[in-house]
Amino acid sequence: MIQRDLVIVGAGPAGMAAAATACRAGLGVTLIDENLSTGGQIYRQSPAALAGLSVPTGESSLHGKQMIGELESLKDQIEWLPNTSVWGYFPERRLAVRSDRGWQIIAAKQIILAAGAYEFVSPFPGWTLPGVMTPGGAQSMVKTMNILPGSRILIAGSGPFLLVVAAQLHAAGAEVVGVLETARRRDAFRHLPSLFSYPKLLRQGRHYLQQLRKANIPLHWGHLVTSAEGSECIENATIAACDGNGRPRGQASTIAIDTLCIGYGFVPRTELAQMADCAMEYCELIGGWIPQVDATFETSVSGVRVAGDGGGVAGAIVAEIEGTVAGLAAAHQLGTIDDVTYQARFDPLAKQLRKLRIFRSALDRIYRIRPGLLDLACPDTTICRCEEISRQEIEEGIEFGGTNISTLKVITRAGMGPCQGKMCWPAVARLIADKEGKSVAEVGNVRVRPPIGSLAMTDLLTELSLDPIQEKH
Amino acid sequence: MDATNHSSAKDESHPSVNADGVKTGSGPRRIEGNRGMRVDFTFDGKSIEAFEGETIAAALLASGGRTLRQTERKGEPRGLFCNMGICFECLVEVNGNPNQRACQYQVTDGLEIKSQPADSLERYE
Amino acid sequence: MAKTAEVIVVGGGVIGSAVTFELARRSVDVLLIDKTLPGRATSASAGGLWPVGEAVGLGCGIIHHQSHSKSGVLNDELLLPGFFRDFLAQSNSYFPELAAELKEFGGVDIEYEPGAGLMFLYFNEEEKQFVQLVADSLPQENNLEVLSALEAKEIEPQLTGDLLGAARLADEHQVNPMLLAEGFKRAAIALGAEFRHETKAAELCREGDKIVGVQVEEERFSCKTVVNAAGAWAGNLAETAKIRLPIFPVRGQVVLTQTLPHVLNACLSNSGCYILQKKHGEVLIGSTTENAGFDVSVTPEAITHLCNAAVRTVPCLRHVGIKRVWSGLRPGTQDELPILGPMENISGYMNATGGFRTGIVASPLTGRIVAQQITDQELDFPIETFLASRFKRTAAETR
Repeated sequence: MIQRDLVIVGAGPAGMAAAATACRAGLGVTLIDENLSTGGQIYRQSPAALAGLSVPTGESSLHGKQMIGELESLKDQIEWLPNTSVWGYFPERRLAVRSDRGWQIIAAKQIILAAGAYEFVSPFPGWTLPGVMTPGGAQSMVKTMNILPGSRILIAGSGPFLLVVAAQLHAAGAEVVGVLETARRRDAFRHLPSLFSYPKLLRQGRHYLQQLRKANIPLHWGHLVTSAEGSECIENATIAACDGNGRPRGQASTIAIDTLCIGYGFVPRTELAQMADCAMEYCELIGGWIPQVDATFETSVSGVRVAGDGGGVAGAIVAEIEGTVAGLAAAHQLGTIDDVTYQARFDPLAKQLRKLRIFRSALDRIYRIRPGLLDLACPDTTICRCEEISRQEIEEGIEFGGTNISTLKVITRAGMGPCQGKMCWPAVARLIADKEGKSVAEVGNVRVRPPIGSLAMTDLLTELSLDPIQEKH
Repeated sequence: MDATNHSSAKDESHPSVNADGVKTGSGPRRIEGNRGMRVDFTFDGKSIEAFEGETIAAALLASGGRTLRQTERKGEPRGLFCNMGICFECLVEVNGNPNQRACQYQVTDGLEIKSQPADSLERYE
Repeated sequence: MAKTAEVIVVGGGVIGSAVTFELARRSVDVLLIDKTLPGRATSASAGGLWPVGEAVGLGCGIIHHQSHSKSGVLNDELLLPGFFRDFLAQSNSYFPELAAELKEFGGVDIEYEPGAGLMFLYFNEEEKQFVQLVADSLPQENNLEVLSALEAKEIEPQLTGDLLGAARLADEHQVNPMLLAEGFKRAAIALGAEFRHETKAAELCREGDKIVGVQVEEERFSCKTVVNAAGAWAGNLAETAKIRLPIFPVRGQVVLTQTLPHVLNACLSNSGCYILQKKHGEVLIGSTTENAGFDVSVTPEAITHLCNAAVRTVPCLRHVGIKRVWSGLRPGTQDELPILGPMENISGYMNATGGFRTGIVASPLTGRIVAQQITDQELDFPIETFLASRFKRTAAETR
């Protein structure tokens, strides 16, 4: 076991901001990420061998490069552990990590969890066909591998992210046949005034809309994909208009495509916070279960903070500010910056966050998950992808007495596969809630047990040795 | 925010789409550009061209291979889904080790990769 | 809502569920209540059905012994009494029929898996001698075969080469422990039992020398007999009625791998761990035996230890992914035997706990004799040796 001052899990915008801030505030920082390079998902970098490719960049991308560059300049002062995953949290503040060189327990005085989020896809017939993927998955295939996942692509689901991906896939040479947004235009108009609270982001949104228009890519508000068809992979998608609850109405039509990018927002990755026994709360608008935090993003577990999408989905700009606050707070708590300095820096950041929250909460409402989506899944639609459990089998399991998560798992095996319930649980929880007349919050969450992510036996056979830290003064 | 719908305003129930409705296009492909060193591996015995830095999933996708495996229970085709290592759909066998995530595994020369078919798990008789 | 029943069983693990099933099929009006506390032993069990193996310390026993014995010497201390071996063997023999019954009554498949038996693997002379001691102590009918390393590898090709030999018990198999408990429950409900989840027995209701029910939140559930099947918490429950029951929690951590092709034919055990492949292909590796109170966390030390032991025994597990690690609490007793039956000086109360390392395999027969005891029927096995009165300092204090 080794000791460290501050360990930051995740090198996306929140983690990078926390690392740079804490480092400059005089703290010893260890930054860990599963990937080979910093950037997280939104600022994901290409591997060195592919870095020479010309990949379309935008405003967001440039900002990402700036952050990455800034962290690079601090590389002699930060312990950077790439290709390293944190597979468990043990009391008190001990993180179990593994890389391909072995495993180790890191005991930290302060921890910042910045593990980000993953995309939620509501199950529907045909969603398991090859060629159906998340918008983020398609985006990173283009941005980091410079490979188009298909040539005739439909983008669907909900959220401003769909516009970004559509524009990027088009710029990369794909034929984007359209974008279907489940929210209706009137939902957007209702919240329009709040969106003006942060003009810069509103401009960004407008920019993407213009790009789509220039490219002649139709954007259909109040529409969704009701099913995907094909034998070996997707060949068609069936689409329809929908009402405010996400229920299809009117005539359906079919469109021939080879790729469907579908995503309904993001779910925070809270496994480590849950393993640490942080008090959690259910907030559907920002992705589901999140740890309860105070103004400095400290959870109910002393010395453990959560920043960025991993604590509630709010986008990259919010993530960066939260990471900065968390980094400052950790430094303050360990005494490397005094009260006055801390407060002077904290106040304006808190103010920025308050302004952003108005914008974000409008977006959250516009793009909220509609209840009707659940009913796109037919009785024979696969809900648990890993174990191939259908909606009917889950409902039978609930009727059979699986009215709580553990019993349902044992009876149906839903959630017992390698993804540990990440893909299916939001839908399963809603099915239980529906049938039992409970709220989704009352249904509770899957219990998180180690290992988080992928861990092989061989990973535990060698101890990872980490260099002794240079003293910071 | 300008939220204009691009389809003709009068026809909400039949959204217009760009193409002629006939399946065109060449499927997944590499975008033009300079890549790193060439790397070759086999997938189910077939030789696949790839480039240093690519993941197995990326290389297979570029070669037109969307279906990576068949599911255990129902023999359904599965392929890449999240591309970030959390959905465990893109599982392949690499050099004899099963259940490796193709989207996380970087290609190297000479890898022997096999798809995982249905019934690959024998049961007790 | 308050409830009256003839019998209330407290604790919905495998034992409580088995007792409820046996009572229901004898037309007893029975209610099972369960708090569903985290860390139930049933959910952390490997599901091994090793009557002789466990009775002679070749299952979990040696592992337990290594971590708890002062001398560390392998001797006949590890052997449990012969009558207990018979008890477990008799219980084990019920499984094939039980599997069919539970499927018929309640629709649950308990995944009873006859395989190549249980193989205890030994790596050094001391262990070899212990195996010989065990072999000599067992009657012929228990069929313990001592195998050379080569013979062991013929049965189990994936074993490591640096084995000295193995002891094989061919009639020892496995089941899915959670589905077994669920199976008993479902069958009991089909036969008329009532079952309530998320219902905690805050205390036993005692009037003089009689237990008359259990207190659940604001209400009293009345009955003629309470069965204490609360597992690791049985001692706590008993104490609420001033009954001293020497049960203590013993934590066991287990590791589960991802789903694999068929690699193991037998259940394996050695001094470091036991390893069995479950029906769905996942390999389960266990277990620790720790005194950690009621703490059900898992520790990196245990996980590493179990993985190292597993890879040493079955080298092809090296690159296999770990799907999940968790722990459960077994109800431990000083002599490693269960505590069943009534207690002196108190009526309306029955023990059905203390299953420690053998709860799963003992569940069918335990269910039967507790139910037979309650309904005044002839017992399928004598209950005297399992009574709490064998511990000098237990008593239901009289006021």
